[in-house]
Amino acid sequence: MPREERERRYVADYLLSQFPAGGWVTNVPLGPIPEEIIARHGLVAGGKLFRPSRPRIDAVRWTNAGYWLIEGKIREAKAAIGDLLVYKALAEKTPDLPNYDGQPFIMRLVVPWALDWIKQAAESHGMELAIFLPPWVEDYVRLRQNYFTSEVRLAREEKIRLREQFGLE
Amino acid sequence: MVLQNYVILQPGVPARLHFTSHRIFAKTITDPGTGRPKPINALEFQVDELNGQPVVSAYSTISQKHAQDFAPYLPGERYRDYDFILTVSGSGWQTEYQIQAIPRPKR
Repeated sequence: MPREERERRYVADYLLSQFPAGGWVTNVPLGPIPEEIIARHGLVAGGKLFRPSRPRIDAVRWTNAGYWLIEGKIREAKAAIGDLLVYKALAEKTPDLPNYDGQPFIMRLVVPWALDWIKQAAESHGMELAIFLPPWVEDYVRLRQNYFTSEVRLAREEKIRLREQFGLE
Repeated sequence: MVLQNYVILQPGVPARLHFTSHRIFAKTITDPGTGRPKPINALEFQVDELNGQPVVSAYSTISQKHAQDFAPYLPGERYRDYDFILTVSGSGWQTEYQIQAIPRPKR
C-alpha cells in the first residue's frame, strides 16, 4: 500500500470536528530544555535551539479546567497508550507548553475503534478514550482489509500496467 | 497593503495567516536524493492577511504531511472562517509545523 500521511489529517479532523472554537495546538514538542541552554539563550530561544531533539505530541488542548494531551492513532492503539504515558511524564517537565497555567494534565487517546483490552488498558492508566471514525477512515480501513485479496491485487496490477503503457510511471 | 509572491515562514517565529482560496496542482521538482525530476502535488492558499496586516500573497507547501494539516478545512473552504498560526522548525526532512486554528469573528 503506498505510503500516505493519514494520522496528521486524522488529528486535524478530530480537532476541527470536536473543538471548532480552537483552544489547541498541534505537533507540540515536549520535555525539558537543559538548564545551561536556557541560561545561555533564554527560554524561547533555548526552546527553538533544542526543539529538534524533543518528541512531539499530536496536539494539546487547554481550558481553565484541564490541559489535554492528545494522541491520535488510526492503527496501533497499543503503542499510543505507551506514547501518552511518556508524553505525560515529559509534559510535567516541559517549561514552554503553549497556554499552560498549572491545569491538571489529562491524557486523551483518539482512535477510530477500540477493542475491550484497549479500553481497559486506557482506563487503567487514567486515560480518556475518544472514538472518532470519520468516513474517510472507514474507506481506508476497508481498502486495507482488501489490499491483498486477489480481486484488488489484479485491479492494482492492471492499473500499474495501464500507467506504464501510457508512460505515466 | 503588502505585495509579496509567497509567505516564507521563519523558523521558530509564529506567523498568523488568513486564507481566501486554495488550489492543488501538480508540479515537477528535482528529487534531492536522486537528482531526478519527480512529479508532486502542491497545496497553495491565497493569503489576504499576514500577522493582522493586509497582504496579497500565497502560502504554498509541497509537504504532503503538512498539507494534511489543512485537509479538513478544504471542503467548503472552511479555512476562510479561521486564522492559522503556523510555526515552522527544523529544515529538510526534519521540518516540523505547529498549527493553531483560531476562529475569526463573524462579520
